[in-house]
Formats: sequence, structure tokens, C-alpha cells
Amino acid sequence: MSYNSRLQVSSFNIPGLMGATLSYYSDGRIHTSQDTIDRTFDRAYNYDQAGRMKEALTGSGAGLGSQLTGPYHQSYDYDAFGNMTSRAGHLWSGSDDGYFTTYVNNRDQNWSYNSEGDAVTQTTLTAVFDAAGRRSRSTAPARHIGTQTFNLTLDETYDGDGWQVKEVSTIGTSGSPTYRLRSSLLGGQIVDEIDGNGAKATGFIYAGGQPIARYQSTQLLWMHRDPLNTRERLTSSTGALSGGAEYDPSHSSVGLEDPGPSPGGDGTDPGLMYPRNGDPTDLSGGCMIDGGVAPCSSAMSQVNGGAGVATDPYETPTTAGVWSRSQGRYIGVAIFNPQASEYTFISVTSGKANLLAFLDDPAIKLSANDVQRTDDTTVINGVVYQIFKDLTPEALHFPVNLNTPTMQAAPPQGTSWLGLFIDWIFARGERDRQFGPDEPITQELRTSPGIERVRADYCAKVAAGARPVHTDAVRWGSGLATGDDDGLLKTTNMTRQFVGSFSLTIEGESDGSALFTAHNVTGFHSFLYHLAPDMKRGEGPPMMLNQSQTFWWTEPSPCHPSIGPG
Amino acid sequence: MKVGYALIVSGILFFSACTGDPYLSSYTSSKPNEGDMIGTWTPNSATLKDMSQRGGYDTSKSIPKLIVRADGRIDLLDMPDWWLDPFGRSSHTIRSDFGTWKLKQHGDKAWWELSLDLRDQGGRIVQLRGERPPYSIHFTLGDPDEGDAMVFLRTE
Repeated sequence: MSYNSRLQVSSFNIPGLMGATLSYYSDGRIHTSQDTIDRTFDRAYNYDQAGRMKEALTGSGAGLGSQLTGPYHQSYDYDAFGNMTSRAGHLWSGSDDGYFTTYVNNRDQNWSYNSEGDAVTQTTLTAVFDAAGRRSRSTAPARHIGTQTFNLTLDETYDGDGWQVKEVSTIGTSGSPTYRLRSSLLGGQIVDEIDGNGAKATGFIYAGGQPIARYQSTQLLWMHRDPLNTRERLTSSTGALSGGAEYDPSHSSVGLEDPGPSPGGDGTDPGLMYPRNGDPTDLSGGCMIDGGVAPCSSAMSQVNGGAGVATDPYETPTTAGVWSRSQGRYIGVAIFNPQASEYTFISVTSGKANLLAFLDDPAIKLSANDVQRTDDTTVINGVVYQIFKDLTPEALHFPVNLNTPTMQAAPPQGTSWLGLFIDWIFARGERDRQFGPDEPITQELRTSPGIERVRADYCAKVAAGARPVHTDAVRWGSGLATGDDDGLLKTTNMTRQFVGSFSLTIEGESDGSALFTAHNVTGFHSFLYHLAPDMKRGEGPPMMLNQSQTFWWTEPSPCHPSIGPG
Repeated sequence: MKVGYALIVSGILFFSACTGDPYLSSYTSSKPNEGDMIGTWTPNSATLKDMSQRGGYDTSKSIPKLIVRADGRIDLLDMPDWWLDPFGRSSHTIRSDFGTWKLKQHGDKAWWELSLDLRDQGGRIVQLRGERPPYSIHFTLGDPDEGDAMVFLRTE
């Protein structure tokens, strides 16, 4: 442990367990904590002019160079009297519950109080106080513990000195008491926790008034805390790591890893993605996703919540693969087996493959009811697939690192705006179409003046140090209004007239190049000035049903005028 | 010549499959006061209904919230994912993000909009509607020509 000139801890290190380098504001408040073991737990704190914490950031949000998602980001607002009026932010990949309130006479207006000033309801929590003003019962019907919600009731009993000596936690209808044996010698510190059967559940060992170890289930666990009291690690008597916790500024434990985003969805899995041409070495045809087609890097971003498929699954099968948006987790890796000339789907829930499915059918959308397994087969949507047990990733072959796909020109389809228009009129051809940089229709769209505007915005943000991803829309109108990016009277180019408005995303690469992706929908709704309803394929007569176009191209140096778009 | 020109214009009108962003005329053309942006914004009732009926989002569990702060920070809480989909399609999930915001003029002299820099989503643009307070914040869903959007109003 080392100290700065003010004798504040400037760094600490417990080899293999925890360590950080700390910095402080000039008023002595903690500013940053750069973790030396796991950069997930980098921390940074910002304060307002009154010295109140207004932001607590972790991981990449701390701005110390970590690329990892930290456990939390919290923002706070206060009223003029220092009462916290809002707390909002994120817990791992999900959102925090947040809290918003106002105060009158320093009383939270979301709470109610008894005549003694005790808060008897705190939003959904209700509390009962005994004659001495001590909380004897509290009930929280929707108490969040980890990622789960419980109906929790807590009964507390006190001794003659006012120390809490018994606690009964009841979840639903099942209650369990805990008795606390305290030491007068240690100023009331808890020595033992005893369960309802009279057995010792936990024992605490102190040094200098601080707990340094505890017996838990007969195992001795040494407790290690950092100087900021934001981290705790437990080690066994052999020195092996045995759990721990990370804490937010209110000292609530946020866990050590992401429990996953909040569940949602309808149970189906729209998140399967694979190269359209059936060959992972050839991404020129784009990638299939949700039954449609998109540039592979764009498709990867969609299936992977914006992060893209991380790495080559041949190397690290547990961190790469197919992300299920509905399940909110990786469900497997898509691997090409050259011997079978087919795609395989390997569940990443175990070290070895236990499921093999062929993903060459865009109609496949997995749900629990769709998949029926026996020892030797898996049936997906009525199609029987053979299960190959105990396959390891090494037994297969996956030559493409999906993190750096080679964007190649799709073979020109020769489709003109007129061909698209006729296809739309008669609802024929694919619903979702992709046009690469060599397509004449893409090259015509690139002349839209709106692209130049969005490119300028992208370059300005990149120059300011922002993340090189920018999404905007190019708007089409009459051409007479000042806000029209393009319009009826601005061009005679029929491709631009046909496409009209579109959304545009520019994603920068590490070499300074950028992928431009334009998305456009042709539909009856917009064709008839929004007077007619939207008509999707399969929902109406086979005419003028929605079809979509994706146009993509790369620019080697979009922010350099001399070698910009060509 | 006039007949030829009329034919050309008629042809363009006929073959133009998109008729433009229907909200173009409602975007804020006069520079708003930054103070009128500060606060908590939530969807209007039409947006909530659209989220539930067309998007399949469970608005009884969570309602999106936009917290715009005076120091340039912004939180987007429980936002439906169709805002992030390039075609405005819903996957029935919600996402949160945070970052910074600033007022920006679209192009050289058109309407005013909020330029967002978000941790997960990068740069994003949302429009303002109305010429005076209370403004509304307009999130375009997918292709603007489709006219699909979420409208947020300041509630605090």
C-alpha cells in the first residue's frame, strides 16, 4: 500500500485478489480507482459544486481506458437542501430501478411518516416501529435480490441494550430465524450468528475492531476489503479465492458478474445469424438474420446487442457465438463443419457440444416448444437432426474470425429502381434485399446530399473523441423546405426518388475506414401519403406489400476530403 | 415542352414510392432554450399505446424515461428496442443507455434537434417538435417515410 503527500492511499495491492491505483480531487474527494486485477471494476466519481456525488461510473464508463462493461453507472440529483431527488443508471447490462422523488420539509413525498417522524411506508416497503422507536417489522412485497423479486418480511427483536438479537426473514410464507450473539467486550459486535436449530451458522473474528475473517459452514474465510470499502474478497485457509462482492456508493452489493439483461420477448429466438452464401469464408452475400439479410457486420451487431460477435469461436467458444436477444444470453456458436458441409450449432452452456443443428434454413426460429431432444436426435420445427455428442470445438473447423469480416462486394444483381418498383407492386422477390457497393443502385443512392451531411456529423463527432458510430436519417421531401436532405424537385435521379428517406448508420473501423449502411422501406403506407395502412407480407393481398432495401458500402477515409468517398 | 415536363413530373410522382417524412413541418425551427430541455421526459399516451399494441412491449412493467440534465448528461431508461432497429422493428426487449446531449441545428438552417452521444449506441439524433415550450422529443423509428415515431413529453 502506498500513500500520496496527503497520506491518502494512492495504491494498494493484494496479489491475485484486489488492487487499484487511486486519484483524488484537490478537495480530497476520491476521483478514480483503476483496478489492477480486473478492469471491469475501474471506478470514477464526479461531484457537483456543493461536493455532492453526482455520478458514479465503472468499467468503460469510468474513462480510464477499460473497454469492459462495469457493474453500474449511477447519476444523482439533489434539491437545494441536499436531499437526493433522483437516482438513475444501469446495473450491469440492465437498467437500475432508479428513484425519483421530491421533498417537503425534508420529508420524501413518496414516503409516509408516523407522528414520531419514522417512515412507515417507503414507496412499497411498510414498516412497524415498537414503543422505543425501533423498527420491529418491515414488509417489502417486491424486494429485489439479485435478479429476482421476492415478497420479503423482516421481523427484528432487540435486547435490553437496544441491540438487534433476532431476525426472522420470511420469503412468501417460509421464515427462518437468525439469532445474533453479541460481545459486550467488543462494543456490541456480532460474534456468532445462530440458526433456528441452535446451530452456529456464522462466526466472526475481529482485529482492531474490524472483522477480518468468518466461519461459514465450518469453513474459515478470510475477508479482504479495500481502503474505499468498495470491494470485498474472501479467501479460504489455503489462500484460494472463495467469492466476494463489489459495492456501489450506497454500499449495496452489485455482484461480481453480469446476471444478464432483464428477460423479455415472446420465447422465440429471432437472433440466429449466419452467412447467406452458406460459406463462412464468403461473406459477400451478407448474413441472414431474422429471416432477412444484412451486411454481416451489421447483422452481428444486431444479434449481439451492439457489440458484434467477439472473437473466433475456435479460440474462445465461451465468449463468441450466437446471441439470443429474447433469452438475453449467448445460446451457442455457429460453426462450419467442412466434412459435413453444413453449419453446426454448439451450445455454449457446456464445455462440449451437446446440440447440433443445421442453420441453413432461414425459417428456423428456436423456442422451447420447437426443440424436442432424444439421446440421438434433435427435432426442430419438425425437422430431425442428428446429435453428435462430445464434439469439441477442436474437432470442427472454423476458419473465419467473425470479429473482422472481410466485406466484399456482393455480385451485382442488376436490379434497377424500376425492377424494385415492379417487384414491390406485385409483391414478388425477397422481402429484404441487400445491395453492396458495386451495385449501380447503391452508387446512385450515394449521390444523395443527405449522406454528405451525416458524414460531416460523424466526422465532427469522431474528431471530438466520440465513439465512431453514428446513426441519423436522410429525409426526403418536396425539395423546397430548408430541412429536406433530398426531394422531389431536387433531383431527377429515379433511384433517389424511389428510395426517398432512409436511416443511415456509419460505423468506423480501427484503420479509419467506415462502413455505411442505409436502410429503406418501400410500403403502401408511405406511397399513399400515410392515408393507407401499412401492409406487411403475409398480411394483405399480394400487391404493394412492404419490402426493404439495405445498401452498404465502405469508405477508406470518410473524414479525409482528399481521399473521401469515391 | 410543357407536356413533356408535365409527363416527367407525373412520372416522378407516380414512381416515387415514398412521400417523405410526414413530421417535417412540425420540427422546431426556432432555437429552443436549453433550459426547456432539462428534466424527465416520458412517452405520450399515443406512444404508449403504440408500444403496447404494435410493438408488443409490456408498458405495465416499465415505461421509458429520458432524463436530460443541465450539465450535458442524459439517461435513456427502459427504451424499447425498435428505436435502435434500422427498420423500426420490435424485438420486444428494452434497453437503457446513457451519455451526453447537446442542441444542434439540422444542416445549416433547418430545424433544431438533440444530438446524443451514447455509451452503447454511439451517436444518435432525435428531433424536437413545437415552436415554443412545451416541446416534444420525436424518436423516428426506422425509415422516416413510414411515419413511425415515439413522442416524449416533459413530465418533471
